[in-house]
Amino acid sequence: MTATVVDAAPIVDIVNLQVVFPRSDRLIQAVRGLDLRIGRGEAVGIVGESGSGKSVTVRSLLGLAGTGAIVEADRFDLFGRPALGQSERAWRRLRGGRIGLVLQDALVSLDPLRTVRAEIDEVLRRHRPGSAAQRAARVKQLLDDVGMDEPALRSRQRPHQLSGGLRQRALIASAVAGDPDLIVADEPTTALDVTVQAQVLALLAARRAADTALLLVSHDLAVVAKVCDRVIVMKDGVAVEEGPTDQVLAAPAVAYTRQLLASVPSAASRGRTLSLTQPQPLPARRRQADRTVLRAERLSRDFNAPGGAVCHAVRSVSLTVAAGETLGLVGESGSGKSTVAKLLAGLLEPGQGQVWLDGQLWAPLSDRGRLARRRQIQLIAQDPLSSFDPRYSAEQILAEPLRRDRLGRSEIARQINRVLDLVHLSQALLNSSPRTFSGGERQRLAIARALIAQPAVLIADEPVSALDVSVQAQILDLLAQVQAETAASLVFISHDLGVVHHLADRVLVMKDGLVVESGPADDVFRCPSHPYTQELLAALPQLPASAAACQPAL
Amino acid sequence: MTAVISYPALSSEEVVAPLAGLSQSAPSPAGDDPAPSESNQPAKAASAASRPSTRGWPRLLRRGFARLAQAAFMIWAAASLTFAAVQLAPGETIDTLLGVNANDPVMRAQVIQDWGLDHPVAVQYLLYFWRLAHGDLGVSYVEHRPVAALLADVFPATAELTLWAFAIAVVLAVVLAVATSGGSRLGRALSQAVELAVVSAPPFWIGMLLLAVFSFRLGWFPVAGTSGWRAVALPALAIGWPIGCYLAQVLREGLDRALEQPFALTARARGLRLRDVKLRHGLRHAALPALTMSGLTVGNLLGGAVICETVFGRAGLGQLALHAINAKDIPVILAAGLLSAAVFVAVTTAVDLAYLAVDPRLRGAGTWQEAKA
Repeated sequence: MTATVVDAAPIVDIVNLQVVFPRSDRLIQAVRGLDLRIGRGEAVGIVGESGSGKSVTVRSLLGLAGTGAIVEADRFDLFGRPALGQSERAWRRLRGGRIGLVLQDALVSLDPLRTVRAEIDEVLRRHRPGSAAQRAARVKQLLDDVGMDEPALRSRQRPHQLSGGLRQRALIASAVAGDPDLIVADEPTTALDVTVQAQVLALLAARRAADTALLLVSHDLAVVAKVCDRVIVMKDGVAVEEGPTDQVLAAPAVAYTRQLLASVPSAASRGRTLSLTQPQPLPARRRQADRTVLRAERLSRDFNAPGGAVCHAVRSVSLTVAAGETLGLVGESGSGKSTVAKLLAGLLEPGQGQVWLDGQLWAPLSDRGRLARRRQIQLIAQDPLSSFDPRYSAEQILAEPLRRDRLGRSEIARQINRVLDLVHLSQALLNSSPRTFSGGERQRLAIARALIAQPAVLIADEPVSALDVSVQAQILDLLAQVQAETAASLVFISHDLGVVHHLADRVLVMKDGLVVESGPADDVFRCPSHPYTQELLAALPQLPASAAACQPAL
Repeated sequence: MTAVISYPALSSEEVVAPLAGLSQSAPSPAGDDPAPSESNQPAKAASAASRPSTRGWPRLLRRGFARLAQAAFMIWAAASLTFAAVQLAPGETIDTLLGVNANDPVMRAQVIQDWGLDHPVAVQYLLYFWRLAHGDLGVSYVEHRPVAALLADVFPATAELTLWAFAIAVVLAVVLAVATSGGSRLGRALSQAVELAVVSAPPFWIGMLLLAVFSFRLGWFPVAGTSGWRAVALPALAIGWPIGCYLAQVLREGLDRALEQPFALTARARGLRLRDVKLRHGLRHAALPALTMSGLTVGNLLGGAVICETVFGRAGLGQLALHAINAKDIPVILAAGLLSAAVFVAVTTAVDLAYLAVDPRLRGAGTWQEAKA
């Protein structure tokens, strides 16, 4: 490209961006007065929780803010030219050609019915026309560039045939196929395992080193810290803080940023609250290390994979949970941790091995034999909403576990009020449907439903993974407090090492159905002995402030 | 053969439901769930080798064969039911078969000979299939001609009408759905109103309306007849138009849903026109429920043809069946029933196989988890 005056201008120069969505009854102000400037080759991050307007902001850079969106700004220059109100033709030249978009989860962000080659070729045909042979060679080159093994083979495959990491690479290859000057990545690593996330971030950093500018949007401060020079913290459509990444994350000037950073669970936050501005020590739990509540011995479970293959989901897993103890179960997706949760909860029969609950056999056992003791183990799911009957009100949801007891109306009300107090939910919500609840309220309701059965063991399978970091902090604090008040044991399953390190007394690290390492949380995370645990910890993006505090001993 | 095309109001879930059997191996999109969703299959980091399964194609073939075997079973069942219907009809089987000729001693002897009525039922059953296997559908004792010959005379005309009607329906559905999905509310509301009116109108009425305008008033098309494209145009339109409007509704809903998916945003961010996103990405996604519906409607087209052939004075399967019913010509009625069952089975089989072509995920082969296992 010839160097012109226009080329010297910043890629993005936006002053006072306003994005409004008119709805039938009101206006929704998604972005309110944002300034955004991205120079050539610069990497800028936008951090914010859901609803902060970060996605709308990046989409407005492509003229795709959404149906009916009204985008206004004092200045809206892309590549030195005013872009607001430009023709659809002009927008289409920019999209893919000069600005490439990478979204979350390539399983649905790439057309699932088309091959990787067709998806990349679509960009080439639009922006880099050439003969079919030239384009095919370019597709291969692009897949090579993003680190795909066997690009010729991959190009013929479809997203569902690729692993999460390969899929995301294919998506990035299609975004950079038009050789854009700016890559806009909206939560590009959010659904990925930490090791895969590290690879994708390295890939984006490599593009960046090749002089492509990057706008990275994430809810995860550590992800942004790893790649970006500059970071903008957004809240409710406003940039509350902006500056060099190191400075903003190490010495945040604004209370909201400080709160956001304090909410991130990690080794450093063990034993203190996350959701309060001034961290308090967590309430003391009544651990009875000598009283084993739940014991699993050499549990195994196979599944028939389609095509006749057998998948060993869980292989000879043994564990014990003491009264009042928190056991963390970490591992990447597919490591078998959810299957362990189902085996422990008695929702799935083990192929081999036994589970003992309070010294009595719990599995394998007939459903009838378990029925009377069912309530001693309660599950908390990742997505609480789908675990509620959509036609039930909050009150009906809470009353359901009590149905077997044939209690009087006043006794049921008393029990419900007891658990509502425990989880800090207002009684005013009892008659409404959980669909109208916020994410945090839904998870509180799910915890309340688990508690109303007065269980000895709570099994929480990724209970905070779908939540914003500040809501996650509240729920983690709540779980600690509930445990202190009820003396229940907790089996906490998560892919997030920081969360587990924050919360768990002991941890099991799982990989391919096996427990590869176990022990007290501090020992395992500070001096991991198994290479896999070391790999997981090394892949974990670190915040600058906490980097020194929990350096894994390698 | 008295079934009239009916268009029940189906919700999208019901439309997709027939797919459920095929889709057990299709991965469900994870949505915008920000956490790694754990499946029961072992997953692995990106570095894990994920070769495509070489067992993919044989498995697809196996599935295709299984579907064809199922189709053969259904045709056998239909033929057996036909046989049973004759045996179980009240009165003597021979009287049922002879209909109005029941008192003709020569014909009686002929029927006993043709159907082997002097043998036990089990032998009759085997003989019946022996004849079917040789393309012998019996003899019409009213027309005094082999039933197969009677069917062969009229089948081309009906097939022509049905195929044209279906072609019109598909083109109309695609054009309407692509033009009105996603975009302006006004065009969409207008289109939906017209579609609803056409779908609700009885086909014979649409046929008479078309005749009144294009044949009687404008004189562009013949009033009756079977030969030439002009003769087929109006009846095909009368059948295809309502079906097209119906399919358009299914297709539009599918397109709208596809356009909400993240891959549609990705495609637009590549610089594609909205129209191209619909044509290249959306249509294929919307095609699955629409395929189910078109399979059901084409199966019913033969029934709908009765009315249209009457209105337009066309020879065809519907007319043949109608005459046979009026004349109590049982062998022809049975053969027509068997033929329409066979067509229905053929169409639904074709639809099921078409799913596999449209959605590679349904081929159930070569997901990376399996490849690893």
